[in-house]
This record gives sequence, C-alpha cells and structure tokens, in this order.
Amino acid sequence: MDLSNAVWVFIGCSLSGLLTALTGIPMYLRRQSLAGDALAHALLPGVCLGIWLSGYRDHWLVYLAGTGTGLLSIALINAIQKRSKIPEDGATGISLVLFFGLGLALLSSMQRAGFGNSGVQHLIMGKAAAMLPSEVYVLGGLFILALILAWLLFRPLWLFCFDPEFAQSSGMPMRQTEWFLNLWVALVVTASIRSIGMVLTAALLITPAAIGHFLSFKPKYMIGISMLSAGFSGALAAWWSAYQPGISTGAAMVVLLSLFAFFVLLAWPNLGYLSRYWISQLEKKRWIQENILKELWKARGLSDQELAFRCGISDAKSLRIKRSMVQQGLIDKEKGSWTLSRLGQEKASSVVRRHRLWESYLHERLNLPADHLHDNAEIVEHLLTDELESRLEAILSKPEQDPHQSQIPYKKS
Amino acid sequence: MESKPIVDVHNLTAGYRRRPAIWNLDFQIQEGKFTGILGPNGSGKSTLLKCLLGQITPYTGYAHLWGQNVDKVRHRIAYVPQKESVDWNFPATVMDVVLMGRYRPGRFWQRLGKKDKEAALYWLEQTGMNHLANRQIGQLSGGQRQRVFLARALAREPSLLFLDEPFAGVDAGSAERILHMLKLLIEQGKSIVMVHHDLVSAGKILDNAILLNTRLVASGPVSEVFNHENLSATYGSDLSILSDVIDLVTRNPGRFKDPRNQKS
Amino acid sequence: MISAAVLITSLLIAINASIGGTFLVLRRMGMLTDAIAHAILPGLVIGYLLAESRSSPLITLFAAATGLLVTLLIYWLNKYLNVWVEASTGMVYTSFFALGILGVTLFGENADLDTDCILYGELLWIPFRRPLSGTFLDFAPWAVWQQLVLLGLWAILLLPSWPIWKSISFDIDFARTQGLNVERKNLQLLALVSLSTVWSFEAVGAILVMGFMLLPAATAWLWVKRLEHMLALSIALAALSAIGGYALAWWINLDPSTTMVLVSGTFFLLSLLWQRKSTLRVG
Repeated sequence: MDLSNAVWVFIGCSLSGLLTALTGIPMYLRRQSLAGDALAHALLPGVCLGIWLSGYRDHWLVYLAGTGTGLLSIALINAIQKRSKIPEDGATGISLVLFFGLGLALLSSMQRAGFGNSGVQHLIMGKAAAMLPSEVYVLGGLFILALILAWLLFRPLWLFCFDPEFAQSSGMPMRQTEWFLNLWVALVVTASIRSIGMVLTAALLITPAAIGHFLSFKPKYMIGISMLSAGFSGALAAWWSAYQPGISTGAAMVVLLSLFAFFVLLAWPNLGYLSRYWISQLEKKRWIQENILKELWKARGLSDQELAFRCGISDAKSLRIKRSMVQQGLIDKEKGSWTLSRLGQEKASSVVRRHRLWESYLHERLNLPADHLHDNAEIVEHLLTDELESRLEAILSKPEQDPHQSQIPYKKS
Repeated sequence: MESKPIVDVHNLTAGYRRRPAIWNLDFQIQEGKFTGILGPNGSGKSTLLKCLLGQITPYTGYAHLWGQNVDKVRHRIAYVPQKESVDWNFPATVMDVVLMGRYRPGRFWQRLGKKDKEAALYWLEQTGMNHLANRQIGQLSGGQRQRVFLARALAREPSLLFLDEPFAGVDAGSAERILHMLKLLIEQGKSIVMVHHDLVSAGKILDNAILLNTRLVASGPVSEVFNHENLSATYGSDLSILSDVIDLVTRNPGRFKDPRNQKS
Repeated sequence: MISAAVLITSLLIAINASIGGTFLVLRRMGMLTDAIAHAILPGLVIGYLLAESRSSPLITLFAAATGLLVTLLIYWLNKYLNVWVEASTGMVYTSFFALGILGVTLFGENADLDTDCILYGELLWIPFRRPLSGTFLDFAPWAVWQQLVLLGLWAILLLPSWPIWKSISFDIDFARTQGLNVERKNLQLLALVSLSTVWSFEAVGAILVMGFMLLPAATAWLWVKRLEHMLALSIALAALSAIGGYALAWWINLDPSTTMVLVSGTFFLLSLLWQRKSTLRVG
C-alpha cells in the first residue's frame, strides 16, 4: 500500500485512542486505574530490553518483553499488598517507580553502549511522526480482536467488573480472568506507546472511561462515549501534529481529551457542575415565586415592600421575579398593590394545600409537636408531586384543617 | 432529682450528599445519665452522632451541648469511634494511642509532658491494658482495640462521652470491662451517649433511650420508652411517604437550607 | 569524579522527600506524590518562560502553586462531581503533565527544559548552578540552600506539634473532635510536599521523585512499631540509599538519581522478602 506518512499517523493515533479507551474500561470499573498507570510505566525496561536484543523497535521481542515487564509490575503490586502492610496506593507507586527506574538505567546503559537513541525517548513521551506501517497493522489487528472479544465476552466481563465475587460463585475463574485482562492491557499499551507514550497512557485508560461513566450509566453508551472521545482526540492530535511536526502526539492527544473531559464535567447540559448550578438557580427562583404566590394568597393586596419583606428577598430581586410572574399571567398590580390572577390563585392554593397537608402528616404520623412543623413544610411544599399529594390526602382522609387549625384549601371537584 | 439537659437538639435535619438521614429531631439528654441512641440499620444513628460531634453541618435546626455550639466545648467531650474507622497497621503502640487523647489545641509548643504520661498510664490501668502498653496496636484483639479507644477518650477526662457501637465485635470479657467502666463514669456524675443496636441489653444497661427511625420515635427513660408501640414504630413501620419525600429532597437541584437563614 | 556538592544535595533531597513520604504513605496518599510530581511541569514551564532564568523564585512559586492546585482539583472532582478518587487523580495529573510536555516541545528552547531533564533530572549539573559569585551564599549551589530551607520548614512544622501530626495521621475524625485544626494541618503538609517535589524535580526528574518519597517510608513501615521510629528509620534509609546510589552510579557509570532509586528499591524488596509476622497486614 502506498499511503503517505501523515495518513499512517492519522490512522495510528485514532486506532490507539479507540483501543486504549476500550481497554481502560474494565480497569476503571474495577477501580484499578492507577495500576494501569504503573503498568504503562513498567513497559520501559521490557521495551528497552527488546530493542537491545533485537535491534528493531517493532520487533516481536519488543512486544513480548514489554508485555512481560508490564505484567510483572502488576504481580509486584499484588505481592506487596499480600505480603506486607503497605496499602494499595503505596504498592502501586512503588511498583511504578521501581520498574521505571530500572528502565531508565537500561536506557542510559544502551545509550552508553553506543546504541543511539533508537527512538526510545519518543516511546516515553509519544511521538507518532515516525510511525511505521507495521505498528499500525498491529494496532488494527488488536482493535479488531478487541471488538470481537468485547462482543463475545461482554456479559461475563461486565459482571466480573461489577461484582467479582458473584462472578466467581457462578463459575467464572477469577484469577484467570484477572490475568487475562492484565495481559490484554499490557499488550494494548505496548502496541500504542508509539503514538501516546508510556507516561501518558494512563490518561487514555482513565479519562475516556471517566467521561463515559459521568455521562451515562448504561454500559453500551458508556463504552461508546469513551471510545468516541478518545478516537476523536487521537484523530485531532494527528491532524495537529501534521501542521506542527515538533509536538508530541501523545501530549496533544491527552490535552485535547482532557479539555473535552473538563468541558463535560463543568458544562454538560443537566450534569456538569455549572449546569447544575444554573438549574439550582432556576429552582431557587421557582421557590421564591411560589412563596410570593402563597403570601398573596394569605393576604391580598400587598405592597412591594411588604411582599419583599414577607418572602425574605431584596427589593431588586423581587422586582425581577415579579416582572416575570406578570408575564406568566400569575399576578397583577392594581394601585400599587399586588393581587393574584385566576391562574395564580389556582397555583397558590396548591402550594398552601401541600404545605398544610404535609404539616398534618408530620403531626399525625411522625408525632411532631405543632410548633415544629412549619420550617419543614416550607421546604416540602415546593417538592411534593401530584401523586404524593393524593397519597397524603388518602392516608390522612382529607382533613378539614391543619394542626394549626387553618383551613386546607382543596380543589373544587 | 431533676437534672439539667446537657444535649439540646432542636428541629435537626441532617444527612450526606444532600440526602436527609434524620428528619426534624427534637430531644434533650439529661446530665449524669447513660443514654442510648437506638434504631435499625440506616435509621440515622451515626448521622445523629456525627451532628452531635460537629462533624457534619445540619440542614436545619441545631444540636447544642451545654447550650453552646460543640466547637466551644470540645475540651469537655470525648468520642470513641467504631474500631473499623482506622488503619490498625499504623505504626503506634498502645501507649501512643492513649496519649493522643491528651492533646489540646491552642498552644504553640504542643509536646506532651510527664503529667500526660501519668494520666495515660492511669487510664491504661483502669481499662486493664497496662501490660500491653508497648505493644503495636495491630497485634491487639477486637476487644482490646475497643478498650484502647476507650482509654484514649477517657484520657481527655471528659464530662460527656460519646460512643459508637462500642460492643460490636468485642469479646465477652472486654464487653464486661467496658460496661463496668462506663457505669463507674456515671457514678462519678459523667454523662454518656452511646449508639447501640442490641435492644435486649439496652433495657438493662441504659437509663434513657432515644428511639430513632429517620424521625424521632420516642425519647425518655427506658422504662417509659420501651413499649410495644414505640418499638414497632422504630423497627419497621410504613414510612413510604417519608422516604419518597426524602428522595424528592435529595434529587431536587435547589439548595436545601433552613428557610430562616434565607429570610435573614 | 566524585563531587561533594552532588552528594550533599542528593542526601538533603532524599531526607526531605522521605519526611513527606512518611505521612503520605501512612495516609494512603502515595499516588498523590506521583500526581504532584507530574503536574508541576506546566507550572515550571510557565515559570521559566516568565522568568527567563533558572534560579528565579517565580519558578518555584508557580510550580508549587500548581502542585497544590492539582491536589485541590482532585479533591474537588471527587467531592462535587463524584468522580472516583483514583480516576480523578489519573485524569487531573495526566492532563497537567501533557500540557507541560506540550509546552516543553513547543517552547522548550526558550525555557531551557527538555525531556531528558524531565526523566532523569540533572543531578550532575547541580554544582554549576550557584548563586551569584561574590555573595556569601556562593560557596554552595542553589539546590543545597533550597533543601536546607526545606529541612528548616519541616522542623518548624513538625517539632512543636508532633503529637498533633501523630493524631491526625492515625485517626483524622478523632483529631477533629479534639478540636484540632485538621484542614490547616493538611494544607501545610501538602504545601511542603509540593515544595519538596518542585525543588527536587530539577535534580531527579518527574517520575523518580516518587521513589525518593515512597520507598524509604514504606521500607521503614515494615520494621517499626512507632511513628517516631518510622520517621527516623525512613530518614536513615533515605540517606543510606543516597550515598549507596551515588557510589553505584560512580562505579557503573549511570545517572545517580536512577541508581539511588534502585538502591532504595533493593532495601524495600529485601525487607519484603525478610518475611516476619509483623510485616503482614492486619484487618
């Protein structure tokens, strides 16, 4: 095939994004994301060894040795936890730094032995500019294999991630599955370090899965979202590196992916932090509106100052909210005092009804004294649904009065 | 003899992650009494204890000790957490842990003196742990661990002691010793508040009880509180509407605050 | 060539790192050192670009602030957006590190930083980075002064309130009910860990810093039953592996930072193999 280098890079980066994202999901769900980080760092001694022995950086020995040291690092994490009091995070850190230190020692011995750089530096930081077609073929093969495996083994693997003990009790071999997953991660990470780089592979194992999990609880959507976001950032990074050849594709990929992740976490509709803040502001406004309706229901014809005082809000704020309530046709102003419209009347009586019904429930069913009901009802009146309201009516058998002997306004049927 | 209230809880609603676990509680605890907080799992016992200790801020209402915020009276209280709450592999001896109870905030030079060591030794003796003073804490049995925690709390010489299920996972000998110590404290005029879940022993050892199931079921002397009606209300009654409303409160995006704070 | 300046610097770095590491290992914040060590890179790059000199305090300030920021961001993601703590750690530090690498590859020449420095550190160059000649400071390299300041800060932080540190590290909730200002102490600890990482970065690189922090502390934990002893042993082990590592580096002609981590790691693995009952975890 005759494809220009840029296209190879483009395909390679997108593929490694898709592949690592898919691979990272079981790691993420088993809450072993940081073990993935250790594994990626631990490839260094293996890869160095492989290159040293074979003399090529895409030789099968490189993949074999890289996968081998990657797996060894996981074994070391397990051994430290099992044989000492060091907890998981300490064990992970220790394993990571030991293998990486060993790798660095090998790397500088290689350089001193006149081996040149052999592009190992680029394997650490990730630079796809010189990607070989053979490396892309390996990535492609692994990707197809990953899709087939995920398709075939989706249910048992998902169960294994969610509840390994149950999976074991239903006949799934625990240790074998665990090591199969570790082996797979090691293979994938070895294959994709050319484009991403060891030190940053963790990002592609973790961040896409975290985005997917944040946006959806459904497994298939979660997987889809993760793979798409990683694949796109890989493609974009390759495109970027075509214009600016000096940059590290791995870093570019991770920066793009992280930007997307932080955008999602902050601003995704309904879920992001800022969106939730915005929604909470809207909800606050609704509560204030309902409070205004309620006060007007209790005492018609309140002036601006009286209304603001009773609802406990500033004049400026009440002005804005009243303006929007006039637009909704809930209230009218007559000669400097406010009254309810017909629609407002209806809504206000519903708020008062819920308030008083809830007070009756607290008083009768939870035996709270009469002077403790109000504050709680001030909150719950804004939340009750029609369904809960009718259930309350049914349990309490439509009381005439609330515990403070005020009339409960029912809908006229 | 009429005793003064030492704990005053008023209209207290609190929980985690916006989900109320206790709902409008209202009760008082008398000085010099052995009071138990009782209720089934998930009834908000631990949440209540955390509120009393000032570890979580209530959504509405307050929990006062001696009529003040807990932060003002921390030197007068002590706390025995569940023994599962710490890592027992921590490099410390039994003596080290008991000495931890002696630290007081505020001074710049906060090293411990001879007086502190003597106090720690005294409480180790009282709990029957002095022969293990130099042992690493990881090598203790469950009952011994609980006794170390008790000694650490008592080394603070508190007037009010809080315990979180002190008899859970504890051998009979240790349980007896702990109970004996608690009774001595009551005799000395100290007050004890204990989260407990065993109803059978509760009737024998407690003076007062607070029955909890999200809301307060009853509070008062054990003899009055322990009746069939209250117990069945505590351990399983239909609270489906309440739990639905709690769901609503949890899911509602609005800020859940004391309306009086909003009005101020 | 054996340089006293290099040896003294690495001794001090190892000692300071092992003090912070002791608390981090005990409080299960081991991977946080990894996160901070990676994440200060963009802070360093911005600092270099702004200051245009290697010894400006601006660099330290930016980088240490980035380290703290990362810690707070991890905490914030976990608390307010329910991102699992290991995932938020991984997400946050890789994004900062990637940003830093991008900065290095784009502006590396102006910033006098390259990827070698990030990986290995430049311990052997330490003696040549000295304060301006003629001042009374110039008989020792910058790094030595930095590490001495750090050692002083650790002493000021730990000595007067040692019992408080013990209590907080063992049982943070109990420390809260004692009325100790736990949050302030946590911030002080993290600030010093962050500073320690920044000032060792140049010498030992981004990833090996973690070895200097975790390995001596974890090894010491296997042998002792009191926190005082753990701290003392961890400092001793750190010093020993700095000296041993330097000798090894000189002997087999490798980067001293790498060999120091390897010596330290050998101590750990030997202790691990020396199976005693007290090294095992209890429930």
